[in-house]
Amino acid sequence: MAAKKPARYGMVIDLDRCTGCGACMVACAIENNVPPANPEATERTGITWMRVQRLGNGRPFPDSRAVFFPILCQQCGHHTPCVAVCPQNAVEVDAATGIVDQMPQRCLGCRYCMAACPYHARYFNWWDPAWPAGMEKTLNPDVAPRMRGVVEKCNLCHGRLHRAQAKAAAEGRREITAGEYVPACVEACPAKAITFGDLADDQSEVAQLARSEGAFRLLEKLGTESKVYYRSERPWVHQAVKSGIGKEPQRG
Amino acid sequence: MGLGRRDLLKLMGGGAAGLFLTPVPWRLIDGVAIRTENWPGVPDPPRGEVRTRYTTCTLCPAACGVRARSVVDQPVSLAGVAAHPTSAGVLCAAGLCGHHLPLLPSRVRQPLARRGDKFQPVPIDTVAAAVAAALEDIRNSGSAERVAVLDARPGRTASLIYRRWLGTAPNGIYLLAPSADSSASLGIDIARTGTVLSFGAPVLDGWGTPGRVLEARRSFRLIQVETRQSRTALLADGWLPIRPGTEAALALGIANVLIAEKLYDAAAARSASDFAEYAALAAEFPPQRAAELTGLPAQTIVAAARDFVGHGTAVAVAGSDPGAGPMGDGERIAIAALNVLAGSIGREGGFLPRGEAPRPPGFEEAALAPEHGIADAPDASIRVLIIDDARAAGAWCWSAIERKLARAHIVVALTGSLDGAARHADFVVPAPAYLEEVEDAPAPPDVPAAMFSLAGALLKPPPEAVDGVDFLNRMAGGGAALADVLKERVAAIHAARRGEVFHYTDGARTAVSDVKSAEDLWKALEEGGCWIDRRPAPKQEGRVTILGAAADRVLEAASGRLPADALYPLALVPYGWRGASGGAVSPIMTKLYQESDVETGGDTVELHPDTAQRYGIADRQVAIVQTRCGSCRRRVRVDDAVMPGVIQAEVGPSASGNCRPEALLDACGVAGDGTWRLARASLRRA
Amino acid sequence: MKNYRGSILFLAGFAVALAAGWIAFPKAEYERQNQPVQFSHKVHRDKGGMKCEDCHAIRDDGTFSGIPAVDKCAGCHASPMGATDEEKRMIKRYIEPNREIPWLVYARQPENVRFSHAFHVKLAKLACERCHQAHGDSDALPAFERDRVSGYSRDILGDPALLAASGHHPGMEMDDCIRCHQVRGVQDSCLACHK
Repeated sequence: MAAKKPARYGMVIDLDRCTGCGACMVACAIENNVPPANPEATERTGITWMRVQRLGNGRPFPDSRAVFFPILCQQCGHHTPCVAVCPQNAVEVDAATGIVDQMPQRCLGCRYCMAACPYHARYFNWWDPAWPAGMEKTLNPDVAPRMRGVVEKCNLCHGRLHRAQAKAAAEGRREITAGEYVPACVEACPAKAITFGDLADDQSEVAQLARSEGAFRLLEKLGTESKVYYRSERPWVHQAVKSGIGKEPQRG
Repeated sequence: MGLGRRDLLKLMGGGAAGLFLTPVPWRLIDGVAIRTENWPGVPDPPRGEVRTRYTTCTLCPAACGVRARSVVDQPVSLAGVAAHPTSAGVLCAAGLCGHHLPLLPSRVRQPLARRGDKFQPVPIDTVAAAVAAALEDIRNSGSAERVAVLDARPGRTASLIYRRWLGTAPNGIYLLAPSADSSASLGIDIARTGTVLSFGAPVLDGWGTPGRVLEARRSFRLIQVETRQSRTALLADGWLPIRPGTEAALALGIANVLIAEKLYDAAAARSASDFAEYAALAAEFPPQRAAELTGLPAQTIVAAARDFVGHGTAVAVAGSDPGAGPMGDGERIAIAALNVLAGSIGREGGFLPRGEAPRPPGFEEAALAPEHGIADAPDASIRVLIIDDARAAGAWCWSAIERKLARAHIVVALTGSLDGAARHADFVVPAPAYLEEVEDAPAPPDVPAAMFSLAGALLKPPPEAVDGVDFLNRMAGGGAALADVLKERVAAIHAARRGEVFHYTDGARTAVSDVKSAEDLWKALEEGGCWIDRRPAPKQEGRVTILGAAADRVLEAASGRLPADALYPLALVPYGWRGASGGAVSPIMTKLYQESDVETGGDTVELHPDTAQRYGIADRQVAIVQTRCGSCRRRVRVDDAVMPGVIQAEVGPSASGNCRPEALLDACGVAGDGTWRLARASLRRA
Repeated sequence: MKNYRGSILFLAGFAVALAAGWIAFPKAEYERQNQPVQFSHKVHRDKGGMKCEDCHAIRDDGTFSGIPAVDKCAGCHASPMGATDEEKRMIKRYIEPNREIPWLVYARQPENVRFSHAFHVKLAKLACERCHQAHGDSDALPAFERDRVSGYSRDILGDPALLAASGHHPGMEMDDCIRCHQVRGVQDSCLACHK
């Protein structure tokens, strides 16, 4: 069997374009069968594989400025913290795609990975998923819903990768072309703020953007070598990131 | 010799040892593991063939193209249509979960009649008979009481049918709902615009056609004039944080600078019949006075005026926030006047005339009741009010409508939700939901070309659903169904032989003159397509009138919308999010307002820390917002990006679920010109 | 004389457990269910001249059509094509009222498993018989043996030793999939086969 060149799927998110509208959050929940909030859920106990956060410049009205940060699993490539701590081997880094694969069905719910993840990108099912009566028929057949007691997170819409590969296979192709596989958040963004692709392909737009001036990763000094990059041409955004991430959000 | 306890233990021990040498324990462990993983509490996704269907989104006037991924016949996810001529492949957050709306458990499925505080099911004929009786009564008594249709989505073919029916009804009047972008006669050539000066319009956050505007973003400068630091304000190239209600003052201040420094377009000024009068009005608002009124430094106002006209074609837009309702006439005229000064009307990059798709025969303008705003109707004059609010996307202040109702009146709401218009209705008629009925969408209000999109029916409506046209036909005892009139309209488009069809399925375009028959055109549109005419050529209009008879309204608006009030010193500024301010949203939207703080939620207000401290309220405590017209309970969030002295109040769905979005708007009360954008308010701890 | 009573009891329990575990339990573990219609692949292949792909096709988008819907059967069997009572019964119960036949699918996987026929048939070029054995030659459909605890078919989750001992075909569990994947060097990450 021919060995495919391993891909490193990643994205570059343009913070100068993101309007904080939340379309990515909604598209992600629909694609991945993430249920609506339990009545008791809060922003700490809800499930938002993709989540838009606001980062302010720390100044009050009228000098306040804010930028919107879509945060998802950063797909760490090196010393992946969640993989290192899982007692169940329920997470692994897929060598062929670079995606950090979370298997909710193997998870026993110890939440060690949630403590280990420096980006708080992992979510626990505190309740069984419940859709309003009759709405279960809108679930996506490519993704299995999870029961309570397990951790889940973004897997770069692995169901869509599989769908693209199956379509290519039906045509006799082993490789998918760029653009055939696009995660739901990337497709949905109205401002086209997210560029997605194979970072291992030097010619791809995402690789070029990741190398460009103004591109950075969150918590780079931890050495997780994440595959999600952010970029901005506004100096104050870079300043705020260096000093602001991890502080309490400005709202209350 | 009996069996003792020790014997029993030995027997059981042997059994246990033996059991471990059989497959039983392992089979049981496997079986139980798998059984519990597939707990009955976790639903299974549907199985079946996956198909792709196309339609047009009708949740707001942007009419974005929709690609639906369906399992057999049930859409499971929606996405935009790439290369669509106006929506550019985009669907907003509300559009992405639109397929949930027909399935909302709270959805109205049968006709209801109000009995006190509750609703009871009744047959549709009861409703039709009650309305018909009232109409008969008006005819027989010869009274001047009116029959009105309030249309939340004007410009559709159904709207034409309403207007024609009102032409024959006794004292019929056709009203545009306050949430509707008024059927503008001009669109904006945004791809070539140089500067956009927006007075409160959510330009980057659900305005016009989002895909089109965001696609053009890199090519225009955006100056946002808004009290609140909205998403648009955060991403604009400049933000002018004016005091609440001072838009007209700023517009006249900018006009003053443009006229004084001769930065305006002389040719456009010459074509305005009352330019001198307008200039005299603007002369009363030099930068210093505008600064006092708006709270901005005078130098900022001067710089903004120069900035406005300094980069290519400039357009000034006045938007109504989806939660705050329409802007007053005074503001709108003052802001529109800036476009005359900038010379952007009829110019490339500016305002270009919109057309309309050819109408079916029998719908000439003379046969139709004209369009009116709610404020145009005389107070206490409406006997029968039929509200078409089938998408329930906007929140209204009911007292703006209530004051127009006669003492004895019937209100019929054609809707799917008991929130919104149905709250005050005597009868609720269950309208088909989004995706359940073939309907059309006209060109979005910002697009300067005639357009006609068909939204196909991907789902079956409930058996008792009745659409507005059907309801009118029942009362009249007959008449063409909406689908038939739509077919006639498509035939008229085909006969006009202009424009082209954009096919959602493959992005191809076909000239209408190459489509063989009207049936073929219908089929192409119903499968997923829109008809779009050529972009109109820039053309300077003839004479325009800037102020008309409204000079005093402009002056009133500019002199201050919010008079000081000792008892109510704060300014209540409601705001909403497009597609959700009416409250009937997919439960998946909890991601935005409950499981994150992307939206604070319809049960919160935001205050500057100084304001909160002055009233003794801490973050996340519940407060009562009190105005002269009413009050409501809201949870307070403290945010130092809020202007001091202002209460920002989100209108929309909430995690607690029990705060009706419109309760806040009802507390705002209605100003003389029918707007409710602001109110004086006070706060106290709950 | 030593008292062997304890040992005898122990051995008795041991023997009972072995018998229960190896003989009684396998019988009790599974519930045998009959298919709603007795379908003969052999007849359709020989007399009907059909191939596997005529009913079980890979669509253009890479999905597998699975067991055909009743309108595929109605394409030929709108009226009886043979003389059997079974066919008449099927037409009356399912084709005429256009009701889907509730087939019991031997290879139905739990919801979290993802299997793509496109990969295995179009890329790996495996023959149908490689996994489905002689099912396409069979004259009758075997009973569906449903595990009472897990709810799934013996064919995908049965104990290999018991299956062999009872002369049943070996079935196919996850370990079998993994073994072949490792031998051929194809993708074996978790999410390749799970969703």
